[in-house]
Amino acid sequence: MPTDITMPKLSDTMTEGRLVSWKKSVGDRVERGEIIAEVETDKATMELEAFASGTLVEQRVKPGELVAVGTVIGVIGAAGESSGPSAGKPKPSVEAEEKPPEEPKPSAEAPQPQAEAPPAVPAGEVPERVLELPEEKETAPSPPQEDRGEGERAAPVVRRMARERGIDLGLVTGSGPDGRILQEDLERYLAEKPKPESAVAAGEGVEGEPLSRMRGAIARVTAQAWQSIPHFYETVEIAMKEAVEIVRELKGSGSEVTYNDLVIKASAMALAKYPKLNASFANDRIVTHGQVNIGIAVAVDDGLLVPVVKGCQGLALKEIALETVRLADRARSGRISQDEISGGTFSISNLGMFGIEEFAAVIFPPQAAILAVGSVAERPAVRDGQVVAVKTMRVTLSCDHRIVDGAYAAQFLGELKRILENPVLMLV
Amino acid sequence: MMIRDLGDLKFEAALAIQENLTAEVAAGTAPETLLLVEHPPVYTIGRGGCRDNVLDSGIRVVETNRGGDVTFHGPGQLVGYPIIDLGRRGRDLHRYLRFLEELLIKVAAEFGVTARREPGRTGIWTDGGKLASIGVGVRRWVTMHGFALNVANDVTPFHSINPCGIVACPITSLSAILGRPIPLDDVRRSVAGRFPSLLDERLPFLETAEPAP
Repeated sequence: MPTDITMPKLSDTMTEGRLVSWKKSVGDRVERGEIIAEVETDKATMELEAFASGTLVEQRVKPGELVAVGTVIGVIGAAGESSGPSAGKPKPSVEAEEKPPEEPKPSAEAPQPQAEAPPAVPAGEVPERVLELPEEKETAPSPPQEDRGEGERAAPVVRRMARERGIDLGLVTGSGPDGRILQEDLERYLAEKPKPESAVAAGEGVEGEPLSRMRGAIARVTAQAWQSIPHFYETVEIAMKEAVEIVRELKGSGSEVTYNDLVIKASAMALAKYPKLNASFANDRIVTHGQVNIGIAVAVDDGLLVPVVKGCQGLALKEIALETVRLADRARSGRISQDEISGGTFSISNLGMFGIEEFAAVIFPPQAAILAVGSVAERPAVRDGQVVAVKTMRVTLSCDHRIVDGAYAAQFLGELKRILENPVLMLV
Repeated sequence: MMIRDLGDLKFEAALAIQENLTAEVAAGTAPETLLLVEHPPVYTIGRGGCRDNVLDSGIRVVETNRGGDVTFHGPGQLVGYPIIDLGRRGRDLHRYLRFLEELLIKVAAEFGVTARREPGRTGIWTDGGKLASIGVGVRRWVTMHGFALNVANDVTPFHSINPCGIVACPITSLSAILGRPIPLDDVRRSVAGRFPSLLDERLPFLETAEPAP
């Protein structure tokens, strides 16, 4: 008799928990009381014990997934037994059809009402099996011939085939009666479509996972930028001795200012002199903006957000520092509003705290440029013929060549360097 | 319950003591214990974390089975590892986390620092940043790991971990907020004095263990 392993309720106030890791693999022998998995709620992890002896026959939830309390995360059965809760008839072991209907969706990212509207899955991605369940349930009772809905332009066997191969039927042209999609339409679609992703999926023998809403947005924006914006890059190394001292002094006087805040302030000042980098390219026109609104890339779980510090041209360094802390907090806590991530006219991405020396960033359309900031570190430099250690930082500007040319970008970077090397300019 | 001051001890050594005690408390052969310790510099990574988020190669990195992400321990920071049998105190992890937060808020208040909870972000916060981190591991309902309260430590190593991204999550300490050095011993005494009674108040000890759910 198989025993379900469920997400335990570790607190009266716990509604969902994250599976941290499996301590046993499918097929492993499990003794009652043995630790089989680790789950997490808030900042506490709990080692999960088996309530029955047997063999772990199924892991239904992957490490990192957040599921509701009570969700079946795995099944312990007798050795050699396949899972297949409750119902007694033989079933293919881990097919989607076997999921109990009450099982919640594994993802917290798309809190849509009920499971009946599976999140849109981009073409080429294979939907996760739990997510495809509702479709099965809904379509099963009605004979396919009577289907009139948009998504019902194919026989069940074709829909199943599409699902298995990760094809969005909405993208396939049907050649059957009334535009119905036939098996050969799928084959033609597959033959025509580039397929690096399916190659990877096949190689690993896994189903792939659907894009979260945020990954989907990042994929769309960066692909659009990469395909439409002719990027070019310029890097400059900036001596940071003075800036380091300013940061330390400000800190001593109670104002926490980061290097990134200095870069924002310096960029705002330099953009005032070189406004074509504070511009947008749209419909074959260049629009130069009066406001300097600087977007700051903030890494969050499974993605990034770019909250915008608005009106930087009129903000003191300290005001910028307060605003960046506020925005980053909101971004990470998931409470940021649409307004706070819109309206940027220039962006900064800083990977200095990760020890990245320098890198090139993808422009955030329709902006003209993005500044990629590396770490502040001691690097060898030649001064008066001697090699000495100097604290420096490298920044790389990615520019839209439709808006500016190399010399203009170089002048902007020269100004940025001058300001950061004389940071007192930012305090007056 | 017992309170043991381990003094200055390496993270791994303290972890071994925790592991043993957890097993003994679960078996009922040792009393619940609060371990207090100060660690030499070390980054530790919880289950929510990833080693890639640590870049300062000068400081050791240890992975542990507590909840939470990357954090730093070092001299001047009071670390507390309560080994508590939640199986006999209501089996509620959130209530335990809130108890730890309340304890640390009261300790901070004793030194004149106003600290608070931030909903959804376990730990203790002040206007100047995060004052204490909390990360707990539970095995057979017995707790491990616990809290790290910044008393007089150098907070710059935190700048090298910023697991979340661009703008550093500000970290502060009692000494930094008050502008004068606060002796670790004073804070240790405050924590040790408050812990047992507040624990019994918030998570009363039940004479018989509850059956497993």
